Amino acid sequence: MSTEPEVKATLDLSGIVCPENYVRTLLAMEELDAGEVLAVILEGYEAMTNVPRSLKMDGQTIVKVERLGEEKIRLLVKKTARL
Amino acid sequence: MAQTGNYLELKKGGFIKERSSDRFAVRLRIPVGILTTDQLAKLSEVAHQYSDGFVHITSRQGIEIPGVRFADLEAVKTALAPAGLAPGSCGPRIRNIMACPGAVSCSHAFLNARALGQAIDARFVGKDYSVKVKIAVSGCPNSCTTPQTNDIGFVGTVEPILNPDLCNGDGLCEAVCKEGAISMDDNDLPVLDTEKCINCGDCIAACPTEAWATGRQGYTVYVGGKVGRHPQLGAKFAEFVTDNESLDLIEKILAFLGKYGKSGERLGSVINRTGLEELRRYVNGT
Repeated sequence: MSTEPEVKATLDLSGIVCPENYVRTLLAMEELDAGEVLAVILEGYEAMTNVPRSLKMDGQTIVKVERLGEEKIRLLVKKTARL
Repeated sequence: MAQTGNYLELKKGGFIKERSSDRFAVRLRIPVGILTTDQLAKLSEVAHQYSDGFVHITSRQGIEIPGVRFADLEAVKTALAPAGLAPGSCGPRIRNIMACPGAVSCSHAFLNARALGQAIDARFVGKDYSVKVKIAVSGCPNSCTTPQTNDIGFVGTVEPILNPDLCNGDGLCEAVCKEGAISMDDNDLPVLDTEKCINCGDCIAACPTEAWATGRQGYTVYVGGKVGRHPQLGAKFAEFVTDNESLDLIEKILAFLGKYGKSGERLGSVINRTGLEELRRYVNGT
């Protein structure tokens, strides 16, 4: 596995439920230029399942997923689609 | 009462006698619970004119106009017809076909349950049978339209197949699998326990690298489910059935029901009597 890509911004959404976590992720993505990477911390089963899938469906690229706990992940998402 | 005529004939037209004398509920055929806004407008206009100012949304995704007078039944039917609103099924017929949106709009589904539901409606609704038959389609194992409590139920499934070359070992699939069917091995590759896997596709949807991809896909078919006075869940009968195969399978199951069922006997009761293998033999032509 290659070294972690450079992270432009980090968004800690621990304790934030759907769809607010997805909406806030989108807002943060808007601030990025194409190709830049956002790190998002998501907590809870719903968040872990829904947010990455929604981002994938939007055409963004999930570069890495790091397990932080039983129901917590750190997601690195690269902006590869316009919002 | 002399005006009501033959009640069974009325039921054919979707007219259900209510408790109050001379009042009927008009049941409509609303396959898969979809109404266009034009149909909604016409429905509102007709219900307003001939009823008490409200309609009833039924548990099978259908709609009824309650409180219609006997003398107005034909007028209601005629008024609704131009909007493509037709009488629904009562009595021994295929009832309103239920389906969730499926992959049309739901993130959980890989299959277009709505399309299959519409195809089932087009082919089977409107004819008389020996007993009522309830059919429901769901696009994924979350089973939102309760296929397991219908005579014939369809649950959309996708089989996950791993391409290890694409896997980056992030373990998101293990994390999202509700069934505990995935575990990461010592090489950071996911291992699937097919005994636990229910083919929901959550791993495929979650996988960022497309390492999990769709293998076989199709519907798991359940037969013999029913609620009412003696509820029972349907038995799993077939897996990975395609849309076209589903229609043919329904045809055969209905033929089985017609041949082996006593009058008014639900499919589940017939299967309880004959055993599931009898249905399997009949369907396979053996």
